[in-house]
Amino acid sequence: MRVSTAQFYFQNAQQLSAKQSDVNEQIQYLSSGKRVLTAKDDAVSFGTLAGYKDELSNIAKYQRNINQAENRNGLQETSFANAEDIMQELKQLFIQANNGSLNDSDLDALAELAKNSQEQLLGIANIKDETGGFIFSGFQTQTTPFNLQADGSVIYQGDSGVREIQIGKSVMVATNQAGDAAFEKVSNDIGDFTPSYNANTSGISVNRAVVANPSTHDVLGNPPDYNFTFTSATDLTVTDGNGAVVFNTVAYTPGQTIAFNGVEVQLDGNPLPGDDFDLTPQEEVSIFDTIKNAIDWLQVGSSPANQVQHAVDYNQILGQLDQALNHMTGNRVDAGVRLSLVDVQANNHADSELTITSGHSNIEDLDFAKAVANFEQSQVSLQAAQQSFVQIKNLSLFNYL
Amino acid sequence: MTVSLYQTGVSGLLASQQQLATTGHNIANVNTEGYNRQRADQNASVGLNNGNNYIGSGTYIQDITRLYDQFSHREQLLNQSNLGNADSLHARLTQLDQVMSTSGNAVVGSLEQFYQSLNGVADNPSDSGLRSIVLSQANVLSNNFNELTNNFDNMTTAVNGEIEQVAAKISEISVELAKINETIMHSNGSLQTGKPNDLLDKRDQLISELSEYTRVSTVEDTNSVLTVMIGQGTTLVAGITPLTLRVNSGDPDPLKTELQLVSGSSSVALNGATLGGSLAASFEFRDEHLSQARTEIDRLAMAISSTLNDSQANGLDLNGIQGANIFTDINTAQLQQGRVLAHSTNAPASTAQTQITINDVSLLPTDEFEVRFDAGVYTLYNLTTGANENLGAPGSGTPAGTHTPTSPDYGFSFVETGVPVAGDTFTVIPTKNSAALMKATLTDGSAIAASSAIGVTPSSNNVSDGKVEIINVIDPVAAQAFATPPTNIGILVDVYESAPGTFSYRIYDADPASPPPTPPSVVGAIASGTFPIGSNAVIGLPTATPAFEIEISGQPSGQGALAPEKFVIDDAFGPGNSGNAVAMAKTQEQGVTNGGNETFNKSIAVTTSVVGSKASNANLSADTAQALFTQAYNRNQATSGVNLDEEAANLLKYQQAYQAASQIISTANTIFDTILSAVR
Repeated sequence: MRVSTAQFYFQNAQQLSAKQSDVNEQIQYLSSGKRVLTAKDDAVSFGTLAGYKDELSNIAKYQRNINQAENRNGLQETSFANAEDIMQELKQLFIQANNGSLNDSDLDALAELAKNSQEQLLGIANIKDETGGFIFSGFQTQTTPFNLQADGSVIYQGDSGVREIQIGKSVMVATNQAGDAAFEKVSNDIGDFTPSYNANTSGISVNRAVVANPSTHDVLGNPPDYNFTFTSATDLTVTDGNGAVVFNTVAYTPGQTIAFNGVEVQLDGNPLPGDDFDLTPQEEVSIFDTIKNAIDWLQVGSSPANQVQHAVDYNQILGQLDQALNHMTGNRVDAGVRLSLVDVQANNHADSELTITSGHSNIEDLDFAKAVANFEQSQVSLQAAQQSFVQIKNLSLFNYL
Repeated sequence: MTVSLYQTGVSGLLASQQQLATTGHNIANVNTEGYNRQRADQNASVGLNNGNNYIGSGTYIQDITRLYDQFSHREQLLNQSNLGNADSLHARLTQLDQVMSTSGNAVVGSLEQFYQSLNGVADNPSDSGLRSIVLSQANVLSNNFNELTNNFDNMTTAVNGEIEQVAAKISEISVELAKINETIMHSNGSLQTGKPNDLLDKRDQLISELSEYTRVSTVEDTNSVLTVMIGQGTTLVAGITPLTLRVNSGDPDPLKTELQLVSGSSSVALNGATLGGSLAASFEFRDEHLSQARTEIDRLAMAISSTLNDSQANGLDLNGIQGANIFTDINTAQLQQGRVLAHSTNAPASTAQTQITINDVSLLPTDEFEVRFDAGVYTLYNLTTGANENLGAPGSGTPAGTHTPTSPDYGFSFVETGVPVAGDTFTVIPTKNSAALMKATLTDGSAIAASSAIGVTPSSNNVSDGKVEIINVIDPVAAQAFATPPTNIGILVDVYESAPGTFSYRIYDADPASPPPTPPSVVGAIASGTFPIGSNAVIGLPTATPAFEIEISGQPSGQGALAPEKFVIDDAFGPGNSGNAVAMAKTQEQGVTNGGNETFNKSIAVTTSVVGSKASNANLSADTAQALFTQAYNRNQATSGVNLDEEAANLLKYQQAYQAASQIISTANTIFDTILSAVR
């Protein structure tokens, strides 16, 4: 086919320009190290890459949240470990107090120590974290949770809020424990009721009082408080809040289970006529109330008015201190459980991150060996085109005329 | 006889001279664009009768023709148009792809940062520093959207500018062609038999240039006058009369400029997209690809704004007030009215005022719509799918004047007032301006509604696996008020299995001083009801005008009528409450656009991928078109192109012929001298 001069130059110019832009493209890839620079390079891969990037940023988000969750729960765990120690000391102290040879000043000294323990525990309960907010105040982080009153009682002014953050696609973890759940909701050692003794000459005490059968426990029909009166050692009458008799026996044996209105009560000791006490519903006892009771007990001194009742109270308080100690341990375990959940999630995320990062890099990263080979090839191609052009342009009949 | 020898010699000389001139002309024009090489056709002169024989009398140049194959030239024109189209589209789509990749990535990055800061607030809601960071990230995000829209605007302006320039060029070419046609016609009209080759070349060159801008076809008449048609057959040059192209601002969107064919004082609209060549590419890019990308980005901006605004409204800020909008409200008056464009052809007597209210962003498509008023009703036309729906008469719907399409539900309502005139047409673009007008409207970090208003606390005595959740907060302040004194001291919900497979629930004030009666009595209850196993109950509270909704689900069997499962709902507001912030942060992974299937990141990734794939396809098309054009060009050049080597050889040939012819003259002279000397 006939080739015109213009065509020859046109084609060569085309080739040169095409090869140059090829080389340029290869340089761009090499210098960025990426195979996919814009969506035009590979639209399908670009979409996949965007998905990978999304996943990776989600995982980074979860990891940040995990850090926070670890910090916060770690602080709680330490706090409760300290609280445990304090309660342990207090319990030892209280056990010490059950020594008949102690006199008033000894008991006073013990009471002072107990007050110290109370202050320390209060300090822990009112602890602040690095943000300046109280960690045991629920959602009311700017309000001091526990306030000591003049009479030694402690009032909770926070709320029950529990903050959660997201550490996985559908996994939330709590980052605080509300002060009421942590310090106020200690299970009642006796069960669901607290006894208050009106007259106790025999040293009788309530061992257990629970709502055994909630489906038959009618609080509207037979409202508490339930009053237990022994008219004789074997004659027991129980009346409800309205005065109606809910239980009556004339053959009371010590240690028997008294069941009425879905409630089961068990007493310790041999009753004497005139023994009278009330059962008030209380499922939980605040730890600070328990401590206050302990301090009050110690401050009564070595010669209380009713020795028998004093002993009964001692047992009740000691049991409750035990419950309080267990509760602190329980709180610490809660924090620990969350930490291990966070740990598991962290591991999961680390694994996913590895997989996704390598998938991402497979698609986006340049295979340098191939790219350099391509670049060399383009270069050689360009050189060949340039040199052949130079050679051929010299061929003209005019050179020989 | 010698006389005729002279003449023969001279004729040879003259012929050689013309040959040399033509060859010289070819050589001189080797680099002229569109030059078709010329050749002088030599013919032998008629022989003179000498009685017995015919003695030839030399040669003459019959005609100087240009070697022009109209078929390969036509093929070259066609391929040039395709190449112009493919190149232009490729260049523009590559530009759009780069804009989407850089600015689009910026949007993704700032979205990521925004949610990161939200998570910071979710962890520590009372920190004012973290809250301010959220607002500054919101600013960055909305700025990025504004930037992206600016880039789109710049591209539109550039394309419009190019269309104008090309239209002006085409008009110039048209005028030139008409002039050449006239000249050719005159030269044909005279008694000259030769063709004005160079004029013809010039004309063909102009048509070649024209073919890059649009598709061209030509018809030649007996006078060699060429009628030129562009596109699908629109006459541009009718013989010696040129028509010109003009650009007008579009209707109803002034930025969608349109072409008009102007002839004297009348004009006719021209559909730019059917013209072929780079003009069609410009229109296609502007009206299809760029506008599609813009609509999708606008819809994303709208989705982000409305999702976050709604989330804010569910919670309470640091001052206990319902969260205000963090981004521009998607239904401000300015945005609503901007979504409808009235055509300028609407009757001036029409007083119709129209706007579009967005109800549900997840249902919003990227289609184009038109609303026309005819035969007493408004009809909605979906220009992309071709469907239409009767919206009803003006003033109908509830509230009056609000027409919401239902089959299918597009997620918006057409709101009109005033009296329309039959034939009124309105273009509807539901997503218009969303990205351009997106702004972060909060300035005070404490206005971020991190706190939830109310919370549910199950009783520690609950034994079954049922739960009560707050599923929807309509007015958090009212909800909080409902759950706090003096209205209620908390809200108690108790549920138990009243009959096998049926759960009964009651809702009471949780005031400990006045406990609810024993079930199944519902005396004094705020609300009560039952639901069967396997389903759940949704209750709006307060029952008259719900401020929030709760859902009782699972199997809350309880332990009998005296011991039902109990849940207390009370005020959860506090500076340390981050419940709503957590919910806001979760919207990052929530599917919103496209029927709730795409998260925000996915949405922008899809848009960018589509543009990238279009650019990649355009690249392939451009390569193919280039190859095809090169082939057609080569074919054309094979016939018409000047080859210097060939011309050099011709130079030698004709030079020799000239020398030989001059030798004839000198021989004739010698013969004459010989005769003359013989008779002296």
